[in-house]
Amino acid sequence: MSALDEKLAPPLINPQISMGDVTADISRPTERKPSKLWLAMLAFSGGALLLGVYVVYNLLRTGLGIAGWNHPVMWGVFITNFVFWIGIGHAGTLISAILFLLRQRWRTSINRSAEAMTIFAVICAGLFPVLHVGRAWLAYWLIPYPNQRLLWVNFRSPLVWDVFAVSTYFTISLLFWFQGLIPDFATLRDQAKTKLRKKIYGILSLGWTGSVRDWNHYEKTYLLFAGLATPLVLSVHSIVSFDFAVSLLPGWHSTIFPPYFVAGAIFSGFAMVVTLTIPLRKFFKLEEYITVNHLELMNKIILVTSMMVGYAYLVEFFIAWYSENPFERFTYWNRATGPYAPLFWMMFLCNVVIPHLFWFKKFRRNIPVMFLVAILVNLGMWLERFVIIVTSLHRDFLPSAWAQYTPTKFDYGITLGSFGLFFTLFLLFARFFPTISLAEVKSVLVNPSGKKKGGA
Amino acid sequence: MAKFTPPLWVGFFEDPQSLLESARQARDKGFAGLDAFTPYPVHGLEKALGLKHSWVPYSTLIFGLGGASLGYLFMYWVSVVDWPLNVGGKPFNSWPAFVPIIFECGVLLGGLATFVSLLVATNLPRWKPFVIDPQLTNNRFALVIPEKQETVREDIERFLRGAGAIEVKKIVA
Amino acid sequence: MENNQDNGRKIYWSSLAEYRQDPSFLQKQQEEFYSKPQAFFEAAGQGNDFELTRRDLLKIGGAALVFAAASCARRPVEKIVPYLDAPEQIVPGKPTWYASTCGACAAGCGTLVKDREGRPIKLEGNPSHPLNKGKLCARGQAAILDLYDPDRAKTPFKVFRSQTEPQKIDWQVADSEIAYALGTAKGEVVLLTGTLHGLARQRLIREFIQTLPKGRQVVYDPLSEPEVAQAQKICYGDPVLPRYRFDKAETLLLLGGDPLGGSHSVTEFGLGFGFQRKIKDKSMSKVISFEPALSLTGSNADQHYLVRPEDLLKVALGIALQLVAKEGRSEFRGDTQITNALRRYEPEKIEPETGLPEGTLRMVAAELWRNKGKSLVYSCGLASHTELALDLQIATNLLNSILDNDGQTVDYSQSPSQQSQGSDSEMLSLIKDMKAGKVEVLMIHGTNPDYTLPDSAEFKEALKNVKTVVSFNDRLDETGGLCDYLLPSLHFLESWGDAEPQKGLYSLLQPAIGKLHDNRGFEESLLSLAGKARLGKLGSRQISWYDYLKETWLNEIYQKHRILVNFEEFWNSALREGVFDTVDRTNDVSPPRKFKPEALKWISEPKKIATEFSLVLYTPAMQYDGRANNNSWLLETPDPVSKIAWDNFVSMAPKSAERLGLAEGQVVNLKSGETSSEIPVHIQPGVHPQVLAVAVGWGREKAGRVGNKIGVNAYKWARTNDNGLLFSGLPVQIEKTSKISKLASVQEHHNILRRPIIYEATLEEYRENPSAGRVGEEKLTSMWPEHKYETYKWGMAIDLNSCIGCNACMLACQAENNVPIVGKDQVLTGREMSWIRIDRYYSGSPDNPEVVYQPMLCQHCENAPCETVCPVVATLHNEEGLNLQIYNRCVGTRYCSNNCPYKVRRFNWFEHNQDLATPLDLVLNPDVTVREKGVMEKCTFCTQRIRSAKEEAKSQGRKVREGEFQTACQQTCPAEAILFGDLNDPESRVSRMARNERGYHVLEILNTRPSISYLTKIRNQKKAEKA
Repeated sequence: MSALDEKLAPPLINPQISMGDVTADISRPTERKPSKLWLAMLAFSGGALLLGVYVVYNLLRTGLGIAGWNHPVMWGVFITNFVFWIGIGHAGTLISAILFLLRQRWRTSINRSAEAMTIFAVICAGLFPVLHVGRAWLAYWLIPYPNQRLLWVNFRSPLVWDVFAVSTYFTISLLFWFQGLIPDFATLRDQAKTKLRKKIYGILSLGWTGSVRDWNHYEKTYLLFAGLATPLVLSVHSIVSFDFAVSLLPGWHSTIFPPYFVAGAIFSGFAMVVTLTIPLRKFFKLEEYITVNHLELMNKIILVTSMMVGYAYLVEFFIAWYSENPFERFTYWNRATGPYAPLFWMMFLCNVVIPHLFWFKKFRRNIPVMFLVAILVNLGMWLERFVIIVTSLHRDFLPSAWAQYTPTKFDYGITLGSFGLFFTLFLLFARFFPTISLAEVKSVLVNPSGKKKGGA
Repeated sequence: MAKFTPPLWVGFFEDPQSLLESARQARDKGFAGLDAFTPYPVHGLEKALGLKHSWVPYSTLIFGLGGASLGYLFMYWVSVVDWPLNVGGKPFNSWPAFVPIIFECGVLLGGLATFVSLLVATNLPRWKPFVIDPQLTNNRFALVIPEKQETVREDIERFLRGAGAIEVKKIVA
Repeated sequence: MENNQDNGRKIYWSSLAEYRQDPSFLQKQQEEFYSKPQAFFEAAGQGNDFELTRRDLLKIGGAALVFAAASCARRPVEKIVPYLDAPEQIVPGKPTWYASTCGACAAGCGTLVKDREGRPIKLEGNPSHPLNKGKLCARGQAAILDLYDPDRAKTPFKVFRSQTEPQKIDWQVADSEIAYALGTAKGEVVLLTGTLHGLARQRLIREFIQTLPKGRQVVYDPLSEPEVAQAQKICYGDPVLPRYRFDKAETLLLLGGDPLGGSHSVTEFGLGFGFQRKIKDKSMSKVISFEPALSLTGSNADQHYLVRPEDLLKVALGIALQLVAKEGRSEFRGDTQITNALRRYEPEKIEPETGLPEGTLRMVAAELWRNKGKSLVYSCGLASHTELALDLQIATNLLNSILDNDGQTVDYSQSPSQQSQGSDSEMLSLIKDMKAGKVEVLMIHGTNPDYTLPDSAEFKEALKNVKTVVSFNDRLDETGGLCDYLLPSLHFLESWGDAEPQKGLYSLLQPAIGKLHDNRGFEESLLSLAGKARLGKLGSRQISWYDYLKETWLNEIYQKHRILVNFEEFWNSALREGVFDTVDRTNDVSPPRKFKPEALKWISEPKKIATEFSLVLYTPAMQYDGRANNNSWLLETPDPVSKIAWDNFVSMAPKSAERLGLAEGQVVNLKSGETSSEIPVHIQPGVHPQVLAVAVGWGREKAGRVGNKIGVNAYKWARTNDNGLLFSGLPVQIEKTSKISKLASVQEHHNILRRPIIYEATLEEYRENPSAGRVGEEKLTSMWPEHKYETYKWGMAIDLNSCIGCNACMLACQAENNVPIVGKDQVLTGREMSWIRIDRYYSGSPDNPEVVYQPMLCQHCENAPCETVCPVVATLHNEEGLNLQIYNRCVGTRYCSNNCPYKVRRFNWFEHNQDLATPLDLVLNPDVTVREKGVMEKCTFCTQRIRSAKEEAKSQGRKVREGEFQTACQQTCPAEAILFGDLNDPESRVSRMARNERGYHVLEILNTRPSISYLTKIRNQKKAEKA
């Protein structure tokens, strides 16, 4: 087909596959009865979700005291989870927007699930700032809406920036995702065998017919969304990093944070995509579409971003030493040798050392290896946020106020709960939505009609 | 989707190239009110049918800039005019702190405008879509030519067959 | 329908129950209140935990307020006179102040009681009281809570010596039963009290015991210092407890004494000590301390030496010899008795023996000599209460005489102290008599021997031979449990009374609130018992305690001093002032007394004790003798030196802990004599390597719900010998156990790491350069035009030199600002709520470190980091430079605390005030919001006080005057280390102090521009001495 595809050798998707096969394969899960395995997984993640709900109930009833926070460590696992999930949420938009702008057509097989992941991750992330607040029932006060108390918010506070950033990011990602889904819903509608399904997908598809006149606007819009989402995705994690960079705490007050956080986000994001797509392609038999080539390309990105993150770590330490600022110096010394040193080194291992396996092609293309690495990277990135938050807080300016922080079972409970929520949503998505963008995959087929003679 | 009325001739194709080809020919021959249906965006087709550039980007631009400036004005009004407070010894109009929100407002409004514009431009949602053939969203391509043609006298069915359509059918009402 | 029609007239019904004429309803209808408040009070009265929902609490709290405001039955009958203005009735929202006398201990400080709507909510020092000059110690500040202690006995009880459950009994019955016992008593009737002074009180007791055939009074305090008076008698002739003039002592030598932490008059001593610590024309006092373990006073010393308690005497004698021999003083050098007695104590010999650096004693002698007449040697205290306590006191007297301090800083005649009259030896002999069955009736008031005496005293056993035992304590405490009757007496805020802490200084108690429970004052009880028993003159008089008190003042003060105004006026003014001072304070020196050389015969050769470690029991600054250990405020306020709350522990030197392989919090078994019990280890820098120090005053068995079973009762380790009790220099074995008991320390790091937090310099350096010690400061500029503060700019200055770390400010803040208590486990998690804390940092070697205290509270920064990050503007600056915290806007993101470099913000992790047992809620200050769960709180510079002062000023159309009001912490600080005021007024004391060369800001480098300036800590040392 087009010259671009020639460049991608070997072809991303098995040349034997035709448009019909694509539709059939990808819409299959939506038409079959749910498999035992799927139900089991749903039950499992649903259970975790319930655990989270239980924690929230106690949190609101008894007070925040049930979690591990203390004075001076007033942020802990909750904000760690917030930053972690926001980070996860980055790969999706990155894949769908930035790779789209870069004309990386291999994105087509993974962008749908990656975007879904983004949206679910942002949902999880959004919960934590609300729940960690002392009076969660008043959290809406962070939104500047006209009220009879005649009060506004403080636009100088990074937390208000967060409110805007996260909500904007969620809205735009959702629209972007939905736009991508419209033509596929139309396909499902036309393929649907039952009336009900036809009706539902018909509504979801907004009555799309695939006229070239619609495609004309559609493609422009898609491009525009990509254009908007790209700076947005960069801004969101920058702003999240401002929560720390804007404060005056040694270990937080650092100008490297925005790029460092964005790199970290992409890093963890791709790790999560790999973690999710490996079982996805297995259970829903999509190996043909999400091929090892796709995974390898993602692993390359993981390798690159891992090196960026590692660089950021080193620079932080260097600056701490170079600045001759005693507080800064102590904080980093304490980070690497203090009571939380094991976590720090664990993080260093997971994020900086292990990904270097991907220098070797045979590891890049080895499913078990990459799955393990991805999991470790996720762990490492969670630890990174924990280390940044806790080690900076627990020993800051006045030694008299120093203290240790230990999460309680409630902290772990809510963390599990958020994973439960995430996977529940993802499983539902995988069951009822086209997990791969039909229209886009069809556009990269070598031989759409599937006739032997056709094709490039 | 263009507003065209039956009777219509629909030519089905199996691969994008032949659709593209026949579309070009149809246009050269001077058929009017042409339309094509594809399961995925086929590049060059809009040119082949001589469609204009989408106007959506303009609304994005306008609303994006509008959102940004509204954002700043709002924050200025709140923290300087309506509710000037000494917060951390900072000046009332601490604009550097406003930048992030200015940006977010721009993107948010721009994005929403873009989506709405898409719906307007393609007049979606349609509750009773005009589905010519279910396979058109799956694995088939179609070129649609209205029967009423002022300029061209040629028989549309023969033209379509000649252009390599695997199937041609006439839709009456 | 028939019962809806009552002979044609319509009947309206409010509920179906009523319509049906339901019996339960009819019965209810007869009652006045549907929901019975009294039912609740009765239940609470049982002392059994009464589960109480927040709503109920609020209802009752509210009701209490209303009743109080309506002042029904909550106000005393007799005419009591407010401090300054005498309103006819209470003005709601306006406090009324009553002058009274603090009863937290026998020191007898004058207090002002702040009454709001008829209930006392705060104690403050009485400025016109010469003893404490408006200041109050931590315990005094906390005493208000004891008034509302839910665990006080609320009625008289028949106790049955805990054979069976105590039974309520009414006063009539109790009185007649006890009166009968008194009337028929053949054997001795003994009144066992703690130190009680005051003309009327003492007269009453005198007359009471006189009316009895065999009546006598025995005074016993757990922390008594009988050896002082004894030594005075031996050395000078008459047994007085001198009044020590720390305010005049420019050189202070402490031999095991802790005047600031554990003495009979901490506020007075702290005041004097702090006064001398202030830098006046480039000089300040020099404090030298020899002690076995770092005490509060020791931690404030310029020179601090660690010796075993047994060696204190040697040190004293060594210095004496040095003074006599080397520094002259013919009359002493000439006296062979003295020289012979001292000969054996050559410094060269003693220094190596006691492990002191060479030349120490010579240096100390020289220092003392330089300020002779203006120096003071002080050695009373538990830590010096060894076998040779008396000998040490004699040596101390010798030193003070040699140094001409007698009559100067040791006041024996002007106004000697009466604050500590107890005598261990009398107590022990009483026990002998009891055992012998001589004692028939024992009446106990204001002391708790069963708790404070070691088992070897065999008080329990002795009590068995006493026919009738009556306790007048305010609750069924340890001793109360062994009695026949408990006639609970009143809290000092409920009672009339008088005090005479020092000769000629008369002080009055007046009730600031009516009786909370069905209790009766001790004096009232004596009178009515006398009446019931028809005891002589006293019995026949049927006089009320109030009249008795007045009468005494009429006869013994008014008439003696020939006062010109009529008595009523005199009485009213005395009540108004709270104090009547007959001491001539203008000329307060008296001629030195002749020291009897033969006194030195009493001094016996100090001998080493058998064991390696020597056990020292000491008085904790917060718990004192443990009498108030149901007071959660005191329990949660950390010990000033160790910074550990909610526990006592055995302190030992880091080296010894290392050698024994003991970790912080590890439980060990201490065996001294017969007594052995388990106690956690605290590794305390500044303890002698062969000393184990344990605080008494913990481990109450029957203090109340809060105080029971907290810590270990260290009194039990004390020893008895024929002349009293031994608290120090006890042989002890220590055994490691495998148990660990976490100690709730509020500060875990004690080194400032050379950070710009505290600046200090030696006096010598300061003399050369007043801003010495302030290193590495740089002038910072602001990025923006700064906000102007037109009217006021409130600010504070804290002098690190005067701060003695006594915690009084913490308690004052607690009382003023409704700061909640969180309990041990929360303190362990690091969630204590105190708005002001005293940071304590060590420097130098951990064996004997230098200590500095720094009160740390919200700095009210101009560029407050907390404000910028708050999303909802719950914290912001007002036009007077205050950093406000708006509780009802706060959503609790806690970002402010994270961004606060001083970490002075506190977060409500739980609904802390939910479970305030009634009537504890009555102590809450109605001017200060009670914070809800989930909001941030912090020091407000007592904004409620600022507001009322401004309102006052506004009503008079002027600005607030300098010193018109004080913050709670400033108001109570005995050392006057804290100064608050308007920084806009260049002449205000606070701005002058802030401009001082020593003035600096903590963490100035961050350019937060705090409103609080600290003044460099100056140590009276030479450069060389500084390690």
